[in-house]
Amino acid sequence: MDRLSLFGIRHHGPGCARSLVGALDELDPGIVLIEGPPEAASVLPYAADPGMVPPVALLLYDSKFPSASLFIPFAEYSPEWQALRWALRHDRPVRFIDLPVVWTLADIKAREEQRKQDEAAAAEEPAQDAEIPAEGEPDADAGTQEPDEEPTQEVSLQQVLRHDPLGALALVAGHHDGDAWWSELVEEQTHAPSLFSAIELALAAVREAAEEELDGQEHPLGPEEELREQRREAHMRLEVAKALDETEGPVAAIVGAWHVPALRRKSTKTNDRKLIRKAPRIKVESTWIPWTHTRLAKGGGYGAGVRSPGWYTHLWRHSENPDATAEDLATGWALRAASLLRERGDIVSTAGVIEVTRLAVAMAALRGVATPGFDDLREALVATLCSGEAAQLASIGEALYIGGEVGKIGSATPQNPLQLDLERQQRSLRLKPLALQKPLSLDLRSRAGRAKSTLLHRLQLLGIPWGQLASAGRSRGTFRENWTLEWAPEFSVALAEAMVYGTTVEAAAAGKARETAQETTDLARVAELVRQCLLADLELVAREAIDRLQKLAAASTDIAPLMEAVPPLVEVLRYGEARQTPEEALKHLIGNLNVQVCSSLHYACRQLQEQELEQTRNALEGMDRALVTQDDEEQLGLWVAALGRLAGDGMAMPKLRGFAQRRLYDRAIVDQEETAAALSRALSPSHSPLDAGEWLEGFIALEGQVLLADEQLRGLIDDWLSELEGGTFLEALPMLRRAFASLAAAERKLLMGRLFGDRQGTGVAAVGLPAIDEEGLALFHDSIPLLKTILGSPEGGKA
Amino acid sequence: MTELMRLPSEKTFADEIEALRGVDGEHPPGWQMTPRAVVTFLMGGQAPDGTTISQKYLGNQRLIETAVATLATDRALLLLGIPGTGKSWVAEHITAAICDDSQRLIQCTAGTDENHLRYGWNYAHLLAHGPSEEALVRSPMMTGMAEGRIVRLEELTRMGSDVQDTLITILSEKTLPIPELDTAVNANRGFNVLATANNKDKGVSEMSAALKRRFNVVVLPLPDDPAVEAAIIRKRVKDIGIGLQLPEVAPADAEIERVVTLFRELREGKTLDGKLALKRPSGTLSVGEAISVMIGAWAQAAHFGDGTIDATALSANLVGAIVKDPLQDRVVLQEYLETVVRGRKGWRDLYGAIRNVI
Repeated sequence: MDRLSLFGIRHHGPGCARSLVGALDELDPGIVLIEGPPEAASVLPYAADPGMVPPVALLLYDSKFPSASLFIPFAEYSPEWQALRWALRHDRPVRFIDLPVVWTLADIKAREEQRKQDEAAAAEEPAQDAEIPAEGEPDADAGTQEPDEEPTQEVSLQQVLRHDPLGALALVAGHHDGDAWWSELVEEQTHAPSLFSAIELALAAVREAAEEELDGQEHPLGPEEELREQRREAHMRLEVAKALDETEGPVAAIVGAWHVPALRRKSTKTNDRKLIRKAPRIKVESTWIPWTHTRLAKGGGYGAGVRSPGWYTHLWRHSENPDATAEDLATGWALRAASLLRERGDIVSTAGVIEVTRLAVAMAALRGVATPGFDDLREALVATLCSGEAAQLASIGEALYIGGEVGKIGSATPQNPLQLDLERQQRSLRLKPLALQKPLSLDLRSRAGRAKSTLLHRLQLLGIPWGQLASAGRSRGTFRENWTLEWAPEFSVALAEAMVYGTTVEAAAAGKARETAQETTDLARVAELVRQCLLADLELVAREAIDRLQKLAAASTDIAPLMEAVPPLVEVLRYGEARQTPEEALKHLIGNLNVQVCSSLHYACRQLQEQELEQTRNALEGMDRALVTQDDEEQLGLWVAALGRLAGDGMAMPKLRGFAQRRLYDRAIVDQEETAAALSRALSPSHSPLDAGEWLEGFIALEGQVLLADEQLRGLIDDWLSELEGGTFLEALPMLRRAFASLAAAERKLLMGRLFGDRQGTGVAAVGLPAIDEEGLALFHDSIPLLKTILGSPEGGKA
Repeated sequence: MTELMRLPSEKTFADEIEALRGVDGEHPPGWQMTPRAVVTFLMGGQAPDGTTISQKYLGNQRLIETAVATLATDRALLLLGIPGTGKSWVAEHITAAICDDSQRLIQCTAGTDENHLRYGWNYAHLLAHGPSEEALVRSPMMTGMAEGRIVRLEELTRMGSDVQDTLITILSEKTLPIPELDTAVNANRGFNVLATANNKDKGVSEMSAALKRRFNVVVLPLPDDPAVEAAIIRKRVKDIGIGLQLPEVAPADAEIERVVTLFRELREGKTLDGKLALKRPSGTLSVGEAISVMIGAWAQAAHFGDGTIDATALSANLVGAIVKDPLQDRVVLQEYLETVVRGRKGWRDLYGAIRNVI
């Protein structure tokens, strides 16, 4: 009797996992062997921690060189995870038997070093490193994932056979998509444990055919990969033999289906040992980290992601209840879709949900399968709840098919390398994490100051606000930053979560920024990201974000977001001396944005809703200030011309026209006389008092204190006011009240003080009041209460 | 040879239907064959007795499966799509396969009233003898219900929304009351409604939410692949041509490909290589229209030309299909001629021919 039971599985398959649990219960093995990196042995017991909620991933990294790392993700429905939990639950020894990851880590390290060398070489001879993967980004996942999940297009049989054995089986069965075929046949149906012998038979046939096909030719993945595969299988064979020697009872080995025939194969231990001699010497650390559904779906390197983690989770949970029927499966899924559609505001009736179930079950019956599959349900949802519109389903597609679940890690699990990297930097920079608020002033001209600032900015990118930057540091000196440091315990959790982006603070910050830049469509957000990346010394990512911004800007039809993107970019330019900035690229981008804004500014300022109006006004102000700060004559010229068009466009919103007029006056583009004319035109009785008030508000609301200091400006308004006829004046009062209400209370008070103060002094004449005679003085006194009302003075004035 | 212009599907493919009846399996009540056999009838294949089943719908099998499964659940089916995507074609063949009778048909128009969906009266009889069963004039709907067959509604959304709502009781309670006689016709098993409708057209009446809820909707798309589109046209043109007893002409595969290219480019508003954006004409330029262009060209070539379908035979038909709006569409076509057709290799003859027509 063969004591060894081999279970060929597909990673992340709920059907496989369910059958596997049943098979393990039946077999009751004395030891469980799983295809996985043996270095993780020390952290395997933590998988039993009830606080551990998949999706989670094993993280393995070089302790001296943490960016050489790889992840092995597990979902709730991964057969490996279920086998691991089974062994821990039944108190059986469990071993990971794949080739140690040191081999892969050594490769990653070698590649990284190569990249650095190339970079150094590229400094002299640019544009050569096109094929080097960026920043040690772990396409190294290849190390632990089978190539057997790769969905391939139409390729030669040879490639299919070796590269995509499931695809080959599917082709024979008359299907084109190996993944979908396997999913429907194995993962979506319930099977007896004998499933595994069937899988083994099928894969053995494929492998044999593949090897015949390949006979004597070079391995399609190259000789290195072939050697690595041989090593893996040799190592697994040795481990299986060892377990058989050491244990009495049945031995269960759970490996990728592709490897099963190889493990059955007879091979001498000497040969196998020879293959795995001279393992690289690397100290490997391992830990558990939380994973997400989104990342499961993406996959990396060879291990193509799970097509729909949401669906697989649903299948797995459904199979937990042995009494649940095919109708229950369909209804559960339909309800999930219905509630997502309802959240989006669609009206979905209960009767509709019933129809989804009926149709899906009928379709499954039509095709002769017991349970409705992924596609049956998708078609059923489209035909019923979405009235035939696939686009409507697509709007909830991500939430339904992928889902936003994030895994959790038990509290007992050891620390992650990101934490260690941070601690290392904290030590070398002498920054202690304290839960007390502590100010920190940094001089960016010094190396240490810059390093500290970079670290704090990177942490902010990761959503870890250990340091809060005082805004004063931003607007004044460009080489000084004032921070307040305060550590909080939840930052550790954030660090663990950030692990998915990278294993060092630098790599993680870059990874997260990159992802955010790609995902967001908000121009201002990307511009802000550019700024943050440059502050965090991530120039490469900043450049990518700049590219992204260019693309978004080109596609944008709305100009307020374009204007909002400018200030953060200009701000970055100001750091030019203290930090490294891609100055040319930035200037170019700002120029482009400016041209785009200026060409359509006055059109975009017509017919805006209240909210858009406010947004546009603020964006105008921000953009204006930024351009003045940047002080690029050409850009400013364009901008001023655009403001001129805006001020003169009778169809634009009055508030924005008022703003533009004021800016033109401030810049001395139009003289006092012209401004006075514009003022009186805008406030003429033919316009509704509301429009006039808005115009005036736009004109004066900006920096109220200027109105205090600028006597000429005050004079202009004053002239206009005093020239009004009695009746018109009364009519204008409400709008005046409204316009001045936009000034802060203190400013209004000051303004009033200035007017009254000057009455006694010599300033009265200077602001252009007509010379006051006896009668006029009396009238003036009479008007004081009214003036107070206009200016909204809180207290009675002392005339 | 029969003198009828066109035979219904169940007559044309009588032998295929006969062969498919022999497929083992459970028949839904009132169906003459299994749902899977219905799909085979549409998608082609082989019957158990070896009869070859011709492919009647070139496209995604999943859509047909959804449609057939819907009818098997006794839910009504609505086939939606722009004109010329084969909705009526699919409806006719599905109905023929399921109940061997595709002729229970109501053509819905703005003039369709409730009586067309329910029943009318033989007024002479009514006046002479008073209301009775004999005085009733039955609608195809009423007959279909009594016989347990599938009733087809063509262009459902062209009839007024209030008339459409007559269907609600029929679909949900499967009964058609006749209050005048204090009785009702109850549907026999096998009855169902298969409707087709345009989703993008002028002059359609929106369906009420209550009615919509009673239909499962399958949208028939335009073919993704130019090769499939050309294949559909080739097949249909041949069938129709033989039916019309048009004189034989040389096969015109090359011309079909040109028409497909031209239609697709104008429809999608860009050249096939994606390098040039084009204006779109107001018409839909569907597969159905491409078929009529080819048929027209065939007739022209056979009766007036030298027996080959060439650019000259095509051009008048093409212009007729594209220029639906005499002002805008003419500009669109002219622009297309000058920017695309003129410079394209091997299209010189077409350029000249179309120029002569417009």
